[in-house]
Amino acid sequence: MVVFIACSRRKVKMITSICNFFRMKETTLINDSQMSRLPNVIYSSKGSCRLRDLESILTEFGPLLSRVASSYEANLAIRQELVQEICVSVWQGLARFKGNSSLKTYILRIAHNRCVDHVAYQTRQVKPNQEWDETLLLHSSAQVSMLTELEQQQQLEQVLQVIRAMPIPQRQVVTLSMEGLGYQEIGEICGMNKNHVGVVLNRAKKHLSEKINQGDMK
Amino acid sequence: MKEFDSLSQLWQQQAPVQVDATLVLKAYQKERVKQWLFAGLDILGLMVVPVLFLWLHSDLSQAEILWFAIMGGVAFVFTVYALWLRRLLLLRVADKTHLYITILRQQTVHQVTLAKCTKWMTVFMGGMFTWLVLGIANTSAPHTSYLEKLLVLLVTGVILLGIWFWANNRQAFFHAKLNNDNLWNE
Repeated sequence: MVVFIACSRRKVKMITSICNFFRMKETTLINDSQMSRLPNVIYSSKGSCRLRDLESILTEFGPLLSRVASSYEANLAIRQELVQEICVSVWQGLARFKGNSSLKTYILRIAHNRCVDHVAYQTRQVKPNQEWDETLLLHSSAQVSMLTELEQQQQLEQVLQVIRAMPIPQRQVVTLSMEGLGYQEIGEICGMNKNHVGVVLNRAKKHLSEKINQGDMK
Repeated sequence: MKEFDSLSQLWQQQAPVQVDATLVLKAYQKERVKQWLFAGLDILGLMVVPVLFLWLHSDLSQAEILWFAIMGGVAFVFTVYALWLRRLLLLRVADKTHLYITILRQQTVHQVTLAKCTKWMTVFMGGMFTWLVLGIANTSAPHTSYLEKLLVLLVTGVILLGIWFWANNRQAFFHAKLNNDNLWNE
């Protein structure tokens, strides 16, 4: 009987550890000091994330995540799915945020890695015909004429095409730079040192400039 | 430099894709259920051999016990390896991208190996089943007719062939992923 109970306890312990192994912990991994590093994100007293927290994260980082997705996926419908998948990954990943970097850097790392997965998964998928992408419509202001807006849209489309054709490290560095991140932060996301970031960025800028000028010539 | 600044401004002006937080939470829950289901299926698959063994063990010959031991051992190693691979990238999702890509590449290499092993496994299992069913080691049901044995072999063969093609497809997919220059080249 004693042996049976001991065995049962051991089994329960084993099952519990297996359960823990697979569980994506939601609540316990962010402590108070780390919470203070999360700008504009409201966490409840127990540290648990709720819908409004996600909403505030999406409000703050949604456009950024959308731009990351646009540098990896041209098709609008697939890009919408990709953005949602990125948000899910970010939401999962936030539970493991330890505050070693800024939240923006952390979220960008997850977003780019999720996009790398997307590129890897799309390897054998047939690329659908690229249609006119409505999301490229810029935030219009009253001062900007229709013609200028159209020119800008075309230019943005051209920039995106060039960026999407770049190898992933170059693509990452150039888009992160366009997001206003410094060499140090870009290095933290990509896993490069500052000098390497500088070299890759210069190469990418030159390539981008050449391609755009070639496009203008045509 | 000025050109790049103007491009950066243009870049920032992109209209974002709107995301519904409720849908994200739903997708998150669905993802968790899916992860649990996959893990559950793996573990359930692992249970088949021990359960069969416990059910039949009193009627089994030594050769059949050996058969179960080999099948159980191989199934266990495969399941643990598959679970480890699946878990690996989930934990590393917030790593630096360079490291993440290295791990992704390693994982893809492992996946190719796993798919190749699965193909060999189906051949091995086919052999093992033939050995078991044709009575080379069978002492528990010596009077089974050849027609019944043939039927069992046929069904097993079809299932194993299906698994072989599935593994072959996966091998081709992961191989294509490894040859994706856009992903690995700098």
